[in-house]
Amino acid sequence: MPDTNAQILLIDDNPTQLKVREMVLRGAGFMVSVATNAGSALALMKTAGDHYRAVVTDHMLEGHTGVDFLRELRSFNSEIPVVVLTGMPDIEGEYDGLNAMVRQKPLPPGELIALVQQTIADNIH
Amino acid sequence: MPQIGSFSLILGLALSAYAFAAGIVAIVRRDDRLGETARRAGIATFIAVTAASLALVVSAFRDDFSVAYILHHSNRDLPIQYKFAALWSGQEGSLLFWCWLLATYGLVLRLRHKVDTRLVAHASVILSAVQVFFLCLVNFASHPFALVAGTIPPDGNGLNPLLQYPEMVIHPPMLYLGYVGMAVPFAFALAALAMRYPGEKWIHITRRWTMVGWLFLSCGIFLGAHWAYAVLGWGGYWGWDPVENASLLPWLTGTAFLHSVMMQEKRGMMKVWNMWLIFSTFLLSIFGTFLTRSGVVSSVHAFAQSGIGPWFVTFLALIFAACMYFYVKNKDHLKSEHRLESLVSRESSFLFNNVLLLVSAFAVLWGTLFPVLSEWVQGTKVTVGPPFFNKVNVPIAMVLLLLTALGPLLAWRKTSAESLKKNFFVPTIIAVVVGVVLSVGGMKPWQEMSNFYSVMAITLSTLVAATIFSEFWRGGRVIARHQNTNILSGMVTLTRRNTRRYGGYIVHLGVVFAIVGFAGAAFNQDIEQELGFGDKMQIGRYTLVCRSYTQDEKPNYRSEWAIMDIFKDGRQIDTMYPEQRFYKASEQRATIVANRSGIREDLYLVYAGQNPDTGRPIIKAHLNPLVWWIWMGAHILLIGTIVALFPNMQAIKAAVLSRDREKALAEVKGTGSAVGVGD
Repeated sequence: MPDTNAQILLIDDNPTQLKVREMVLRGAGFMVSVATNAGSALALMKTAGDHYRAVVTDHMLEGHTGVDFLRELRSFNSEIPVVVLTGMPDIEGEYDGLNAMVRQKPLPPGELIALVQQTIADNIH
Repeated sequence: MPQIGSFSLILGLALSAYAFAAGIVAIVRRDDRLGETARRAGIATFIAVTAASLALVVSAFRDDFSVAYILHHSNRDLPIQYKFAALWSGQEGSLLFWCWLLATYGLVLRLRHKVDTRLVAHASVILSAVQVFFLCLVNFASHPFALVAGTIPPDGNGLNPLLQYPEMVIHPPMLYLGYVGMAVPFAFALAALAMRYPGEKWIHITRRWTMVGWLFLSCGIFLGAHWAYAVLGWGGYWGWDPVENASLLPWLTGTAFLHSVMMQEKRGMMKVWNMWLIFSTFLLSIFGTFLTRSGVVSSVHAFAQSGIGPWFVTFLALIFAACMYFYVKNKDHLKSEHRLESLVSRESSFLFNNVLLLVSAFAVLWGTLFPVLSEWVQGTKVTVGPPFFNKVNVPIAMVLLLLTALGPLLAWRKTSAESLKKNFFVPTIIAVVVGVVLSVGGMKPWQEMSNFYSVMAITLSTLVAATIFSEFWRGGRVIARHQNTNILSGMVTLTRRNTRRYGGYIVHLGVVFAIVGFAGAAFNQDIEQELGFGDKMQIGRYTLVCRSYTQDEKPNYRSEWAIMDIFKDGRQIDTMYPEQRFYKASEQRATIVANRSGIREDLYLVYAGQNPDTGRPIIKAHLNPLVWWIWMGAHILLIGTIVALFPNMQAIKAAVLSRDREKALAEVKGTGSAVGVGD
């Protein structure tokens, strides 16, 4: 299979938002893989999960929520840090016990970069 | 480093020019001392050209972009094995590589000069002449150490992404070893003709050189086909591309020579024919090199159009003139000692074999040059595609298969009906049964011409395989009984006693395997579809499900790839990852094919692109039957050639005995004993 150097798996079913975040993170020096839905992302995690350092996902995905995705992900990967971006208020409770960091949108590029850097740094330590 | 390289090339040219001139004078004057200086100059040429080649490789490793060649064919992030391969990836470097290989062959020839000092001296002069030509090319027309004018860019353009594949590290060297290797038998042949060499010993000396060149050419051709299959992503392995054809031409004439030369050895026949076959093989090797570099015909392989075409045309004309001069002068020396006595004989089968191989070579040459010729005559370029080449070569291949079965089992001079029946009855029955089973089992030869040829190919391949097996079985059984051992040991001993014959049978078996593989092409299927997550496509008994798709970034390239789950008859059997890459330095796309190869068929997936509106991948799936047989055939052919290169067991024993005897004699003489060996 392809030998990936990607560090971040970015998931969003909105192609414009996906592209913008991808460019922001690449511009900051991260190597990024993208997925447009939960099933596709889970397949990538099962195939190349060892290479990723963090997952950044939207809360609302096509046919699923981030919670469904994360439950499925935690069944085989309990370690990888996950950042969930959402425009909806007060949904942190839905992610209890799933080891996820929830942040409100809109998230300026600088904050997104800092958040991802901090997430990776915390995970290393 | 470039200065060292440039100086080494000039030195190499001077040394090879001296080796040529002094060699001629030494031959004319019969001056052994002068001849020895010529031989040593030839050896020193190897050192000079090696230094130049090393200088280019080191420049690549050091990312010395002041050298224009390195700037155009390498970049900082290129993996090290591809920096090494940059030596032969561009025109200037590949011509330098040609020089180095020729110098290496020349070195071995000159170190082994005692096999026949006079013959080797003549052959050495001819090789030096060829070396002078190529060194003139790299010194004056296509200099690998030309420097970049003005500001040196910080990074290079990178290697063509189509060449960033492991097989590309070895495919060109193999092919060049084959092309260049044909210079040695040519040199021996022309030398033998020029000096009116008595007897056929020169053929024995030349035979292994010819087989080595043929071995590398075969290797290079198969590697190229495999690379085309695995990298270019069109699902095929041979496109009758002009540069592919250029490698096939000397292979066809070289194959004809390897067969017909046996007639000269055994029966003193076909001397003129063989001489011109080996001349043609070398001429076609040079022609192939010319075709790849001149831009005369367009090809996926061809280097950019360049100005070295006239150099090659001149050189080809000079070689041809030299061959014609010595032929006209000494053709009386090439009279055949015997005539053809029967059409049912090994001689006639070799003759038919040669005629067919040459017809094929002519057809391939005609088709390759037709675009050029049509442009000259009509002003418009008319391209000739695979249908023409297949139409001519497929029927020829069928008849050649039949001859491959018949030829080795026919007797020299004349074969009796009894012998024919004994050798062919059972294999023919087996082949006919296979043909019938295939026909009624689904291949339906009556439906389409391609189906008919596929059935014929497999039927005739069965005939060949059966005759080969019966030869090994009968001979092995006799030895096994005699030595009280098992049949397998008997077959091994049989092979070791006559490596040329039985190695040749193994080569034929490899050809049979490959032809079975080619026969599968008539039943290829393909389908192309845009796939989103969870979407399926069906091909044959396979269901392909797209589980995911994404893009990645590496220092050298960006990639888009998909995760495809493969189901067969409802059960998941594999996961495959077709990929497409975009190389940053050269701004070129390359396909990384996902191929699942089996004895019966290949499932071959290509990431054909992405729908820009949806972002979904477009996947092309091919189902290619029997392709595995081609690569297996290539391996068997190579093993057979290596076996045939080994001396016979008897020859080894005799050589050892002779050395022991000489040693004992020397000891006796040394002690002054009155009793000598043999008393």
